[in-house]
Amino acid sequence: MNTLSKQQRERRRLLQVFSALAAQFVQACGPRAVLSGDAGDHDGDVDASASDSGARHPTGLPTLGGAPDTLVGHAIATLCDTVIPGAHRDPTGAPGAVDAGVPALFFDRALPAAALVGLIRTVLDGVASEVGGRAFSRLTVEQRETALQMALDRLPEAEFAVQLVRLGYYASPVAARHLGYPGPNPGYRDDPDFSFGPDPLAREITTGTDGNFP
Amino acid sequence: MPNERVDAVIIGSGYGGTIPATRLAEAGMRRVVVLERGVRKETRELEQSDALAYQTAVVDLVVSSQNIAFRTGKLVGGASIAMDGAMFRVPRRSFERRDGAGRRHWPERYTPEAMAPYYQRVEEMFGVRHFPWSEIPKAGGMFAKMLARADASCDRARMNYGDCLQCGFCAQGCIYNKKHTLLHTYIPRAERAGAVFRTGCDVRTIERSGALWTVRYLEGAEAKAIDADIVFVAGGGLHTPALLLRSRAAGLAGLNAHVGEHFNHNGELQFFGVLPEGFDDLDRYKCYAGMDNAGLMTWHWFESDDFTLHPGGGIEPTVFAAAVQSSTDARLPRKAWGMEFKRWVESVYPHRVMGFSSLGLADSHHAVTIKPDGSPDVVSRPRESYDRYLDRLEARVQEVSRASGVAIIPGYPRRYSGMTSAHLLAACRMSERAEDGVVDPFGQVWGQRNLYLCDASAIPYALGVNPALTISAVAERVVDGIINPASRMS
Repeated sequence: MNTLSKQQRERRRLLQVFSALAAQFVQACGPRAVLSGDAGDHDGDVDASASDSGARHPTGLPTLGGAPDTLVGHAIATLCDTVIPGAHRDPTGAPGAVDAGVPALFFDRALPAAALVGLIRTVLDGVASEVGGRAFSRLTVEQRETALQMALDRLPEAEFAVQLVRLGYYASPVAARHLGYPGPNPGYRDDPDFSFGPDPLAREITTGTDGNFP
Repeated sequence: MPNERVDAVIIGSGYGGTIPATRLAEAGMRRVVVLERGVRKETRELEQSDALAYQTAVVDLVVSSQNIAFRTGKLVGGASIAMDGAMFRVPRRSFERRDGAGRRHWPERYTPEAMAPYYQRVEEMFGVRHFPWSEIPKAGGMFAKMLARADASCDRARMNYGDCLQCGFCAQGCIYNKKHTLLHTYIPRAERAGAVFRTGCDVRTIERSGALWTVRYLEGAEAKAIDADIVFVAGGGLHTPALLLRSRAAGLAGLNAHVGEHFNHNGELQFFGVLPEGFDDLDRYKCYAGMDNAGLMTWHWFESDDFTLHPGGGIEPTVFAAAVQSSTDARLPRKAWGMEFKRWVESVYPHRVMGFSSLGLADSHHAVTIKPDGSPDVVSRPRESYDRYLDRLEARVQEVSRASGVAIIPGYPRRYSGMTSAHLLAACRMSERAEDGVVDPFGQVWGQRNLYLCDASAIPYALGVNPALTISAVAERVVDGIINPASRMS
């Protein structure tokens, strides 16, 4: 049974392609000790403190954006919120990655990104232990920013995870609405702001022929 | 059961396949069969969609083992459906380009004069016209103003669009029927003349069978074979060399070592810029409004530095935001994530964003090979001359940036240059001498009687302009040489 909307399917496919690119990038970089993260099953990786109902979530996030309530889910959700901050901590109230459901995309088992979440968490927690002596998802916002920058400085390949968040967010309807991107349209030809009109805006050097360069 | 027997098999339905199919059928060849891997989408089946799910339904995103993605056509009509419609003749400088040994890349019979009648023929077929300034969207207008501030020239493009509505979804296939694709031009003529286009036919190998050629393909899971007197390989810039390499591995003798080498993405490099505050009436400029190719081209640096530059329109947030990288330019975000980045994107999209694409006479720095499953792969052949091309390009663009105030965002690291390129040339290049290329000056594969190849992969070298018109004109000339052998003397 397919319960995904068309839009969800399309976003899934987008992540599929780009995370395939990212995965190949990682493989092309060859084995590195730091990339030895567990890419296996994380479903049993439940954080006991998270079940403390009523208390503020230990990640500080109002929502995990569809990531599972596990340690690896917390790592991905807090990474997403570090890359594109959510409305909960944006003074302007503008939506961010968790509001757009970007974390969920990392846990879609149909996507190659799902195989990378353990690795991403390992990298993030590695730098987080240096920065704050605890897991990435338990750091303060400022510490997370320091840790992510440290990860990117040491391992430029980690950029792929940031890239996935950017793609996931800016491809989302949430971001499109926020930025005023209308998408499908009947054409702008008759929009009074469409062009600068009939006069040349720069010197043409092929004038007199046909637009081709001789 | 004997193989199906026809007169001509054309493998692929893009410019390099459909044009020969049309002319052979119109010349009276009775059984012309075009085998297309993809499906046929009529205009009503196209969508205004930025989603990759849709985009990968109209173009094939070939991801190489080195993490580079190239776009090729995958529908009946090939790249004519999904690519934008800039249709330039190749300048003399491109035809005359020579290699390090002083030899012309193009065979001697290819000159602007000799190609003129063929260019004219395809320009008429595609309804190519020179756009007036009033049809240039502001995305192009801002580009022209930027160049004017840098005292550089800028010309209007030639496009195969009718009365374009300027919706900005050209690369997704025009839903408004305004782009004169192969489905609007050659394909109906070919079908009227009796040519048959079959979809979902994935050609795996070709082999010689006495005086005939046998083409082996999969239609779904079913393996089929078809025999023909004459075969055109027209799978495009990546799939054509891959098919020849697969065929060679399966025993086709006589193909030389140039197959797959010299692959050239036409010096294509895409990047973005950000207009300075107060540049013009920025609030009334929207980077997503208007056709993908914003209708202009500058030749200003073509003679001095080998590249042309054109603007991009129809820019959606994803492609822009994903391209931003950390920068030391004070006008750009220091890092491409976090609150500062988020604020910055909001401040520039959609009123200050510009897109650019360069094309140029750059050397090959890749080759096409095949993966173990026989699908095409693209591997690096690093070349210092290509790096120098990028150096010149970057230096000039930075000059424009300083003169105009437009901040340039380096699109991708240089090692990715050409990523997602759609100009896939030269992997089976045409050559004057058998020892230098794959195809002879008449479009026949060297040493392979009645095996023709006149698609993007036969173009010998980078062009510095969009290649569609030239691929088409070369295809017209090659098939003319078959139908009217006397034309070979010209």
